[in-house]
Amino acid sequence: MALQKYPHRLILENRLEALAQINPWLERGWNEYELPNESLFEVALCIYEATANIIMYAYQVPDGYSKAPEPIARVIEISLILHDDAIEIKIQDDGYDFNPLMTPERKVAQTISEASLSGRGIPLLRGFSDKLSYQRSGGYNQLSIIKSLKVRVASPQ
Amino acid sequence: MEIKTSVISADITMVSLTGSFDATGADIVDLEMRKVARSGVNIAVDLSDVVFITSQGIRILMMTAKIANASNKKLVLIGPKPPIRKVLAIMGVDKILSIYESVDAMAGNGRL
Repeated sequence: MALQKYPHRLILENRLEALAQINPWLERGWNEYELPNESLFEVALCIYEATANIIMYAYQVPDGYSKAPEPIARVIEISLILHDDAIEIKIQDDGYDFNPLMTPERKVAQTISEASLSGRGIPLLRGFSDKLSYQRSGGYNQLSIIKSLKVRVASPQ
Repeated sequence: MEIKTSVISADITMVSLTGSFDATGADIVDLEMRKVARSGVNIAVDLSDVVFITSQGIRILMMTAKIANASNKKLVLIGPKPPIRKVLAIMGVDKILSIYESVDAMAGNGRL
């Protein structure tokens, strides 16, 4: 069950410049709910990578989707939800069907020439989160990122 | 993100980055690092004042390392803080590029 009555929420336009709003927004929520500092960096990185992927891919018309209705609002909604032993980040966008978790695992390169220059965002998201889930519902992509907290979160007054 | 370059020896140029190494301001960092790499020197990237790094930042490091590698030069990383180091490890960057605690540690190694 979520601890706070209303989630801490951020609405972003689907452009890369909007990513700069994530850290200040997250820090405000972190301070408000007195969350442990050691998790802030990792959660910020998860949100950043997931949102950057949405901006780069979810609004590109996929192959074979020429007749799909175009996204209207083109906004991304990010919510921070407190649970008693974890925090959950929900990211919802109105782009085309885009499941970031379908990205295949990347092979770890051993030399500079083998190293890939793309496809690093989702491995980071997997590496720093404890549970990821995706669903398509009502015309929205909905991604849930769970990060366990080592200490219990105090209930906000 | 701020970027400063300084020549520390005949064939090593130091690139010092400060702030968040992400998509914001990445174009300028990308351009500057490519310029250094194309000048045919080894590159030491000082990450000690970097507080945040994303896949975009790592992409720029790898691209610069590839350019340096094409002229048989190296790119090494200096002084990443623990969270940054963890990102580098998850991405397998530490298997490809040498990471030193400090400039002194790099110099003590005798080579890049």
